[in-house]
Amino acid sequence: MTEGLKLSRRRLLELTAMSGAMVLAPRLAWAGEPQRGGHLVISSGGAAAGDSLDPRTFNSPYGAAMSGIIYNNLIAVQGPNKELVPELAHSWEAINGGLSWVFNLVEGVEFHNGKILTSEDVVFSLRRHAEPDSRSSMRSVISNLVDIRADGDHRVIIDLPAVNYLFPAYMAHFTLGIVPAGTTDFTGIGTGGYKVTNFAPGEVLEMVRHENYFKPNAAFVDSVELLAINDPSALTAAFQSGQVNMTSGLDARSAGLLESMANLRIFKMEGGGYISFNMRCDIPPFDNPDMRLALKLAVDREDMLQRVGAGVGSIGNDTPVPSNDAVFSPNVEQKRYDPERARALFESVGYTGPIVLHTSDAISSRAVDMATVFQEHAARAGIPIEVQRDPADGYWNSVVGVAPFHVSARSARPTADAIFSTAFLGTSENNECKWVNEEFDAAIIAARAEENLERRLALYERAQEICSVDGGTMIPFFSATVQGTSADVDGFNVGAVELNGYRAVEQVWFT
Amino acid sequence: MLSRIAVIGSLCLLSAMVLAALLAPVLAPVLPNEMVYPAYAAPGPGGVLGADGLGRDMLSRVLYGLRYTLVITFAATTLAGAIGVSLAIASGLLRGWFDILVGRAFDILMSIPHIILALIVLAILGVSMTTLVLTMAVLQSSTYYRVTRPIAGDLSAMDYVEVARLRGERLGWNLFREIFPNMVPSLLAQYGLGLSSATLFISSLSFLGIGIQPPAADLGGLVRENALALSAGRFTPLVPAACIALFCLAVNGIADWLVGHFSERPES
Amino acid sequence: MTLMQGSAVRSFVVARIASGLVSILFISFLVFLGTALLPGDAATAMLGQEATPELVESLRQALGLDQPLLIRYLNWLWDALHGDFGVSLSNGQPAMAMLLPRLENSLILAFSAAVIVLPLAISIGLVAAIKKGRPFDTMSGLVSALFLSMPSFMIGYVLIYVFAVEFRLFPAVSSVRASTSLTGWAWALTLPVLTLVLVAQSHVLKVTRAAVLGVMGSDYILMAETKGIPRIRIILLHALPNALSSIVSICMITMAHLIVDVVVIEAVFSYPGMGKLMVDAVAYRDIPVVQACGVLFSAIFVVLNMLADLLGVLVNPRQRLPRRGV
Repeated sequence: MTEGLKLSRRRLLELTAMSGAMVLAPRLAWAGEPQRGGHLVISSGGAAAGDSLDPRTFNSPYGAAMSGIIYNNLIAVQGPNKELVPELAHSWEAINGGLSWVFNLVEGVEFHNGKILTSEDVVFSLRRHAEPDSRSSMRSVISNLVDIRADGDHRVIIDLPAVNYLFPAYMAHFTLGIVPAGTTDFTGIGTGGYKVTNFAPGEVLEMVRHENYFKPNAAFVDSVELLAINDPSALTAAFQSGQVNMTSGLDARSAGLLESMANLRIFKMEGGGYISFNMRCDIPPFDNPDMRLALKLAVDREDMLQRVGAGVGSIGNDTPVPSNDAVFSPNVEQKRYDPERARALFESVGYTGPIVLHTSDAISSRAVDMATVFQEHAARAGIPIEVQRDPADGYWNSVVGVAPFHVSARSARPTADAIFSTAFLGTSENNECKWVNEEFDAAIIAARAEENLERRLALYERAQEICSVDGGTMIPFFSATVQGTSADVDGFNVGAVELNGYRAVEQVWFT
Repeated sequence: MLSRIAVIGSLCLLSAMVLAALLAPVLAPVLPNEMVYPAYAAPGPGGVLGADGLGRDMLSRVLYGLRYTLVITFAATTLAGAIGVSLAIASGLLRGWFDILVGRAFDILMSIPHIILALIVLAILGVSMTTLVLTMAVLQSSTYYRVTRPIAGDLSAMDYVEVARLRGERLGWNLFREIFPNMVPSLLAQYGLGLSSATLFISSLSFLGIGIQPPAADLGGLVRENALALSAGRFTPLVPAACIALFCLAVNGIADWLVGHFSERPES
Repeated sequence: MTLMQGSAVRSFVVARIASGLVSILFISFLVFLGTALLPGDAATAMLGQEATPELVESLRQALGLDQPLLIRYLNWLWDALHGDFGVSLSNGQPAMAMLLPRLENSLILAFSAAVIVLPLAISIGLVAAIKKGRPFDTMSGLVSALFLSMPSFMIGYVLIYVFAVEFRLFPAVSSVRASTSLTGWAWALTLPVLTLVLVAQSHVLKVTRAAVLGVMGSDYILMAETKGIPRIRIILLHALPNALSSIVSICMITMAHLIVDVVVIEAVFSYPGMGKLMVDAVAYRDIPVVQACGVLFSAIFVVLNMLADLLGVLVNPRQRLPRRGV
């Protein structure tokens, strides 16, 4: 690996958490020998009748799950430590002092329609996100790039507007699946381990094994069915009854009940995913920072974690960085439940209209409960909140990022930069709260180019400070992901990102 | 004999449930939204019926849920009766185009599936206690109209109406004294059936997530809230569902007895 | 008892069809009017956050929202008659295209339930009539009343708990699609169909029993009884044919109600039907989809009720049956 930088490889690794040399994620010790065959049923929530197979439109857990089965990214995130591992790019490196990144593609990768992957396909797939009609959650990231260009058939060079050592992690985002160049009708043609045979939006995605899959030791089961089950109790019942072989998004509180069942395996993982209360900073009363702070002080985080998260997880401080993250700053003051101060702040704002908090089972079975618990906490601070429970189908499209005050969720991202950049930067299309803070933005952008670790940590500390106090996102706690498989499924690896970076389907087999 | 036991049982059950709903604030061990137990605490340490997913006392929630359900049910059914009966009497009295118009309107109202119409109306007006009660009342008023209209008959042609008119007496009192007693048995039976269908209706709406909004929950909403526990092997979600069933059983039992007793069976 | 003359039957048929059409027209107007009165019109809804006053205005013109209400209704009705209910606000697909496969699923569910519940409940009702006052009659009446009092979602959940979670005989989530095999359909539909059957049986049973007993009370049956003809023979040969018109219409009415009952059942079993589509569309105010579902549900309901009356009269012109509300 050639570095265009005067940095040791070790140093670079430290900075970017990249490990382009790894071939496969380590398997768990109990895993037996992989076997071919079988029909795997996996389920996910967050599906809607309006879903499409265009990776650009993926914005829900269901979309992420689809992406991980039928498409490949350049890079994947694997394991509990969020390692970046090769997918369609077998290696990557920074050139021009970190201003450009080169991705070297695996040769001979075949799409489901027989076409061979070239760098043109990658350029096409990535550029689409920046097009005017794009509503991609990666739109702001991609449209800020200087250029995405092919250098021969198997090299893609991405030119950045500013130095960013953390850039490769973006390429693992589930919306950045690679499709054949020129695709206009998205029927699910990708390079993934399974090709689509039937897609009923909001209901089911059916797939069979892609026989010429480029990964030699992957995609063991013959066919896969991705069921859309938005209702958490239906999901639990379906999983328990054996109708579903593998699922993420189980409720932490029912985990205890499920663990005792011999036919199921339950995996709990403290991750960086969270459920948040989003306040639209461009809509009154949430455009007032005092109002936002009042609400943040009106939530009893410990109580919320105990009640809703079954005590598994860690307290949040309204920044997306969990305490086990490398750039987490312990110096940012942890906000505590302070009804008196919350009341004083709320009264100083003088807002008398209704405060309606939208929530839905679409986010998680806990989303409605979290809103309800918060309502109780806030009531003690004299802040009246109305909880509006919306149906699951379509919630992600119609409420998240639209309603003035709503419950949303984010899964764990490979780096703090990835989550800050997509969900918190003022320029991001995917900034659900429409929160704009120039100092914060400057800190995040500077951190990308900062090669000194201490200085970078200082920048992140400042960013977390601002985000915690001023931001529009309330993050009461970081939840543990609870995933499960039936006992006859082997090879399931637990990762910080759900379904092991959404690639679990091609990694498991039936015993 | 059997039917007498049934009706006495129904009456006891009904009064017990109405009392429980009325006295919910006294009977409930804790406030319905207070989180006092660990999540999904088992019955015993976690209260009589255990706790729900947020550690709220199920018994208290069921009592308050019953209160919500009954308030909406009785309000909507009574209002429906008032609308239906008064329009029937007005039709009988005024005849002519008013009669025809109201009759046609109710014909149409009855020919539309109520839950579909309710879905549309609630989508337009938004969900609140008032809109729920009003929507249900209007939808159900057609049955009362249909039961009452034939009894009200051709009021304007009746002697005492003429007399009252000539004497300049108040029409309202006469109507009430002369006509209403005729209607009582069939109206009561209809009211009973109306109560049970209103209960099932509001429960279904809440179950679909477009009834009472959290943290308040009526019986249907409680079933939805706790469905997760059921799939994990808990019976608690069935308690509010059973309350709905028992209430309907009781009012149906009484209504059936009324129908049999006065042998003026309203059309089923 | 006077026979209804041919012309009387004809005019009844015409009047009944006309009133059915008026009902459907009224629903369509209500659906249209209601959605036209919604705060924030389709233009703002479609543009969402990108809405600027100029954009909204131009889209309003493009959609014809600046025209008088009646013109808009007629235009909408004209398109609707051609199966065009506009495009879904949430995903831009034609509402009708989203709806048709869902409608098919709902019809399959309702029809399967009807095929089971009608013969079953009619036979039970018949036996109950034959054995009036005997234990079978009382028991069937009690059990039927018990299920009538239960909310349908409760029946559904109990069935899921017992048959899917405890015994693992049937799936908890009824996932079906075009490629599902016949056995696959049967497997997936068992629990929702069973729920619907338990919900619908009570009414069929009651009406059958009442219709047969009603005919039994008439003069010629009493005459036959005094002649000493056995009761079972009387019921099968004399009473049943005369009660047929009631039974035919109850079949149609049951179908009509099953179509509407699926709304709740689909939510319980996550079944991809039209009811679930509509409930979700209502909550998001996806107007074209709500309109399409509302009109379609109501039209099916009205037509089946109309058929109930018409068939009832055609089977036995001597009887005109009262219609039943919802």
